[in-house]
Amino acid sequence: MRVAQEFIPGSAKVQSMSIKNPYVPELAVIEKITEETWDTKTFRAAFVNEEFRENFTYKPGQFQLVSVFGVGEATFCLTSAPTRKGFVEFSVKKVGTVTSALHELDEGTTVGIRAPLGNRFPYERFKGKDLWFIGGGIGMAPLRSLLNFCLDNRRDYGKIGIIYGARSSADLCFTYEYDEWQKSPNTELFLTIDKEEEGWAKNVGFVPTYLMDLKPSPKNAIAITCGPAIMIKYVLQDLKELGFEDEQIWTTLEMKMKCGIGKCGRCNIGHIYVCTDGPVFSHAQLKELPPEY
Amino acid sequence: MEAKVISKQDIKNWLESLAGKYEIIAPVTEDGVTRFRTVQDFSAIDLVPTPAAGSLRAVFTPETETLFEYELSGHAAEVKVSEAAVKDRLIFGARACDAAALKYVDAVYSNVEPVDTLYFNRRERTAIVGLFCSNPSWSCFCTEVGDFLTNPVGMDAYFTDIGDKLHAEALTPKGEELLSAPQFKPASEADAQAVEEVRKKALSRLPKPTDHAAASKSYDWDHPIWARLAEKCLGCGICAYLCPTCHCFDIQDCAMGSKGGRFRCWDTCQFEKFTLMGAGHNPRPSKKERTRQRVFHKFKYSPERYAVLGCVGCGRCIAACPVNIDIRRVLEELESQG
Repeated sequence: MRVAQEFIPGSAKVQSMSIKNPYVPELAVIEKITEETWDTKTFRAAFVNEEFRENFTYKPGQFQLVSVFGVGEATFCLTSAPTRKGFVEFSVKKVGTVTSALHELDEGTTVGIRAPLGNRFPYERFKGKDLWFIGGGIGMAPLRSLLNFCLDNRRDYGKIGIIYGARSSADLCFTYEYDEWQKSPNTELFLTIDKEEEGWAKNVGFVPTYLMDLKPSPKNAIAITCGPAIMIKYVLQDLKELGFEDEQIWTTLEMKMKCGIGKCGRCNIGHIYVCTDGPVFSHAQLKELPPEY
Repeated sequence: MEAKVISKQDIKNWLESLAGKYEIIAPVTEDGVTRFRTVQDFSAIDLVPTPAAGSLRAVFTPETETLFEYELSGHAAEVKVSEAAVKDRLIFGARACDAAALKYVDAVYSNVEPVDTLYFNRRERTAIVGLFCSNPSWSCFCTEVGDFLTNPVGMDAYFTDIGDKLHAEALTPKGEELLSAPQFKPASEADAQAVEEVRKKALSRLPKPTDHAAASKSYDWDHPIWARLAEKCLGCGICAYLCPTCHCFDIQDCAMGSKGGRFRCWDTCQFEKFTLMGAGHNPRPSKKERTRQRVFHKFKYSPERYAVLGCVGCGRCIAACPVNIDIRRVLEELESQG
């Protein structure tokens, strides 16, 4: 845990007293909008400033604050993988003011982006291990960044299993990438939907149930999960039952955010801020925190 | 630098001599409420013997502050950041609690990069002259949470009212510069004695120290007090509004056609919508969670994260709470055995 740095006004430590204001976003143009589901769109954006765009880099698990000028700013995970350069992607479920405004935008609109923010998946610790991605609905968005990053560095990781479920087939996201995921060596995709559907030949059942059917081995494995709170709750229980230790289970949390840089006080869970100490946490870390998220 | 004194009659012309270089901010009483304001008429300064109703927070983070302006044209957007320079300011008559609170906020706003440059730009350019509280209020409890009343932090000079003059001690090179003005004369033995007596008298009315940070390690998450506070608390947020260590803010956009701006404004964890998410989930849905957050943030999470307590015992929340919630009693209950 970072200890307070003694701030002495005028000291050399705080040299960038320039007008560099951490609350000002970089401009980015929406290059592509993909309709994932009836309420979810994925936006691909490129920074306007060439130098910034060229030098921009991030880690899987980090997030961005996207601005619709005049409406507001909201948090979205960087769903693109940093191995694929020149653009960033964010997936937006239409639930409120900013998300609705984003859904109204055309390709070519300029938005603001403050990125990269937050911590990241400790992928170095995952090297050589089997990875199980367990996602539900829009929860697949943050997992996708790490997944594509790992697939782009395929030799660094063991077997990759992707368990992904949604309420119905129409609620599944990133369908256009499933072929690519499955073509990768030693990688398997397990899709599931909640209820029977005409024309659906794959698994039917909730993600936690499917997880128990598949029984992934915890031996030298890491599980990374994200989805609706209820799904995460049961997935965690099931992973423990399968023998996964707390340090082997990773997730990424969501909280209302404003500043994104640990100042406005909004996203704390106990003494940690989800925006700076997270959003990626292991189950071992979460167990130490108050149950308030 | 040795201690000095300044006659109360000379304060006005001392401040006048500084007015060219600094914007002077001092306590001013309007309609019975004393707040820190920019002063041009130095005879209006009211050196009340206890903390002013308002803290110094607004001096460093205005209640509402523009972050940037933008202009839209078709699909394009332009962002304009204000280049206005921050003026040099001098706060005269700050309280030890308020100055100590600034050190806490410094820790919060610099804990993670990037630091809050808007706050630190002002911090860097503001000299602080403190005033010892010779008549602590019934709600003051600074000595319970720290010893900064007698060992001040966060200020450049510390004055004590000893009757017809103010005793003055420089605490930093900036303080020494200020006290080298001709209105300041060397303090005598008698002056030092007078300070001792004023200090003793004030301290006798203040509580003994309590290690709340240590006690907070065993605070009960499910203590029955939260439900009781939830019944009383109105969620008005006055405690946070007046609190010198409160640092939380909201960020909103304001649009007027194709032009507009983004601003930040004070906000509080005591408001229901503070943690409300877009899809409807709220990790703190009732006042039970929110009152607990306030106490835990100040007395438990702050020492855990910053190694500094998040409360300076200024007592404003106690004095202002419309339903008489007293944080000292809350802590007593949390820390009592059985």
